[in-house]
Amino acid sequence: MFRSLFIILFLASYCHAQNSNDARQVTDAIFLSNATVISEPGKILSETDILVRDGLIVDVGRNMTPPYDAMVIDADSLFVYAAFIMPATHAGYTPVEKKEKEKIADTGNPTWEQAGVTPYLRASNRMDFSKLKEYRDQGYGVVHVMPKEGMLSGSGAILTTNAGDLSTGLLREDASQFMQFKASQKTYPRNLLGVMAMLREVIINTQRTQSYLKTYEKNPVGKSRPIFQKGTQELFAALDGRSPFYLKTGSVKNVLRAITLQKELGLKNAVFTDVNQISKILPQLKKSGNPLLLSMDLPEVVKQDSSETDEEKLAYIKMQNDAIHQLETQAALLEAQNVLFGFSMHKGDVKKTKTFMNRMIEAGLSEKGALAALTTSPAKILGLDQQVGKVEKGMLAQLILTDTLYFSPESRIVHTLIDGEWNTLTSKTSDKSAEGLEGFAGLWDFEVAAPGETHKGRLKVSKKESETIVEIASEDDLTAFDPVSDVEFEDDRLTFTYVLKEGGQAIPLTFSLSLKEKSLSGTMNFGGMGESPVTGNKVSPESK
Amino acid sequence: MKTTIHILLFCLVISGLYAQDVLITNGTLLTITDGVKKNTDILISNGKIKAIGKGLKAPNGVKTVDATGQYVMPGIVDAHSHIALDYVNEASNTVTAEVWTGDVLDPFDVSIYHALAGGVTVSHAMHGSANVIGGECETIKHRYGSIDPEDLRMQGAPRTIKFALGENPMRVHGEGRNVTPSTRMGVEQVFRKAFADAKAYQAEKDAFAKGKLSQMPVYSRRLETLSGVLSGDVIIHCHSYRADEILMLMNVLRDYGVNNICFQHVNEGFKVAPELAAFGATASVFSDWWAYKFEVYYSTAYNAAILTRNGVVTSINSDSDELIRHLNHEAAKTQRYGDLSDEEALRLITINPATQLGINDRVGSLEVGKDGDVAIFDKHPLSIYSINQMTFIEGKLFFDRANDAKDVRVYIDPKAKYSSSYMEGSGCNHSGHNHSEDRCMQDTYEYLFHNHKQ
Repeated sequence: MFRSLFIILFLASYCHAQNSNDARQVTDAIFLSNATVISEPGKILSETDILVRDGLIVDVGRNMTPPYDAMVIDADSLFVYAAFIMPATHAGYTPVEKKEKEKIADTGNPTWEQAGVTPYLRASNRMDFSKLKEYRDQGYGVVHVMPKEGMLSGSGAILTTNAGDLSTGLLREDASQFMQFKASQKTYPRNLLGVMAMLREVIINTQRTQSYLKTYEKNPVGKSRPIFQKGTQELFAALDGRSPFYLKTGSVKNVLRAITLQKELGLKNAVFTDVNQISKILPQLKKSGNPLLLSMDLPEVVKQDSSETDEEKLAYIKMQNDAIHQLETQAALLEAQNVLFGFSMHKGDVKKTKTFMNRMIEAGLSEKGALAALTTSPAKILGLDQQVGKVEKGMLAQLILTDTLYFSPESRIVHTLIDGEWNTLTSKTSDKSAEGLEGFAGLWDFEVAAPGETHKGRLKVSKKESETIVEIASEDDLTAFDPVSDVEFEDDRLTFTYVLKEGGQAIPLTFSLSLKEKSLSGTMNFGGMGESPVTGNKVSPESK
Repeated sequence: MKTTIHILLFCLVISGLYAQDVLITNGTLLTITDGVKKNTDILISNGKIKAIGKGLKAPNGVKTVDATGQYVMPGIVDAHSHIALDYVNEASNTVTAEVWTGDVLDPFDVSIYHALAGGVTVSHAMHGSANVIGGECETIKHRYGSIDPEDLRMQGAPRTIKFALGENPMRVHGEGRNVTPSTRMGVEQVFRKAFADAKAYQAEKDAFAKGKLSQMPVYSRRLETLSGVLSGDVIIHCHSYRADEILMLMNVLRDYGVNNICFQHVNEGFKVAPELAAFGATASVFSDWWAYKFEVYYSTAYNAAILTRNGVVTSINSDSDELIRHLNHEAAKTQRYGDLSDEEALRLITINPATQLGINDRVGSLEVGKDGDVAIFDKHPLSIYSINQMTFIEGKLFFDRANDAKDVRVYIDPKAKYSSSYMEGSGCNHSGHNHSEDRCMQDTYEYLFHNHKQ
């Protein structure tokens, strides 16, 4: 099946080595006319024009004349914000695969690497840049991505969300070292007891090597050579404070442990991420002087079963909701205390950004503070406040355009302008979580528009328990369905992969479709060699 | 029974976890080190016992507790416990002297409150017995109510470390990982090698200090701690059952000139009591708990009495979040089995465990100048009918039976499923472990299972 499609597309990909994503905009100049500009938190400019050229904001002002070569956008109904900044995430990072069969000689005395000390890993080398689009579509322009394995995981990279690769997307390499209280799976340390001990030992030994190296380099005569481990040198910058440690905390106990460890080891430059439950430890936190990144993973309020009569249980639910409310008020608390803070996303759903922010606002955070926590504060924490976080002449063109004020419930991000590249968001970007695909289940006929020829096929979409099942048939026989893999369905986006086996080769066809009530549209990627548009209609059952 | 207690005390808005002033009047003081004093007052000021005597006056603003008809004793000390810990065993290596339970204190553990309810003010939060040489332990004061682990530490208490003989390390490492020790002989060799390594490390450090080496040796927390053991700065607390092994470890320590050791459990201690006394070792035992594994069958409830009569400083411990609630009754069993006097029995849960932890200059008896850690029982604490009424740490009231809240949890996990306060305390919902079982081996089961599959 799909034989002809395979041949045609193969040829097509030959001719169009550059896929559609690489097509450049017609012009590098974009003129936003007559917009409402929130140039920085608390500052609103009405009827303002913005000229962007070559990825920079060239001018911001009123009654400007658009240059002849600019793409002019009539923005009189739009609100322009600086794109958001995510200062700690693992988005797009591909963890190093565990060597399942690796034989470790002595699990009690592992190497640094085996135990999870891998400061030489660079997030930038292991990126799937396509995953950053999700952040872009939620309004983020810059993300700080860190490795996620082990206790000293490696160095973070600051990237723009529009990037297709490192050359276009890297703002800063080796921006941080990531540290977390994470035990090893196969070796010592198996839990926090050993993790704390090993972190101390690694840091102290590295500090010693670093200081010995200085005297050694001055005069090595008569001195034994410095002792290095795999990873020693990669920690130097963070240890002398040139770059920060990003220390993942989590629970209040771990926040306190992190404070203790930082003090004990004399870590000069640290940012705490995934911070929770701070209300009772504010003095200690303020004293530590670290910027704080609160966890964006906020539990839902616990609903009370109306038939519940167990008093202790009811009291528990109340206590639990009080605890959740305390999490909601954290941002307001930090704002009142003038602590520099933002948010981190180690787990959780970036699509819930606005819902999350609105819960913080409802609990007392000002809208100004909320915007600062998404823009100027993380810019400052990352040391990028000269480049991003504001809509100002000279800054990078990292803008989002909304149809009303962002924090109002019905607002929608309609365009993004990241690195000077204009994107229009077609699909809904509200944080409605996937509610299943009842309305989309059934048979769909589609056409793939390969160059010079179209090919037809049929999809069978169904649901089994909570799983979305997709099967595919080609025009050779529209009743012979084959299963597909990697099915993901969220909001109205359906993606899946069908592996075409022809001539001893396996070519993955990856479909990325947007489903509407009666029609579908999207693309089919042909083994990474090219993309073709896909359109289609629902054939059964008929929509109500 | 009269339990009139000054009502004002309960109106106190208690602030801070440290050092409050209180005058406890007209109680029967079980001082431990200076006999029984009837109708006597005790004044605690700035966290310390300031005066003991009759007719003491409360200084201005200091609250008074009327203990008429009640028994006032020093806060009970438990030399072997695993409460207030998030993790107990780093079971991945035979020697883990580099780890420290002080890193994983859990101030949210409701067991702390339950221990207070039993009059226990100090416990020894120990590493488990999975490894031949486990981690350093932490001596804690039960300042329940804080979320900061720092508040639990008993600042200035000497360092202690957990050792373990016999079946546990043999099973976890010999059987589980196929490394030494698989036998009791192997256990001895692990000690000898560890001590030899520490000695060599120390020699290298000394050589560096004298300028004979250009570079410090690679920093090893494990060997740093073991150097501390060899110098006597770190008190050994060794999980032990069989007499032959107890003698073995004393022989090993003798070779290294170390005698700062408390044998824990030490069920066959009664067989080698004179040897323990001669060595200067102390013993911390159960009152009557045994037969839970093969090496713990040869036991007797007379153990504590025999050890005491042989001049061994002996204590009775809990090793359990259940026994820790009534250590006074555990101590009382030595009167049924061994005819110990009231004072001898009470010493087993006060000054003797304090001595084993190196804190007998601060707690374990009612003496002027010592910490104001006090429990008030309605009857003599060795009576089966006695119930603890109030527990003070450094003058601050931490448990009050008359005002015992229904749910005493300090912290509620916003994401956790419902559990009752009681269930939480029994460990059913705590880190997925059940405290009421022997926590000595907590965090090792998964490890065993994992390795058995290979």
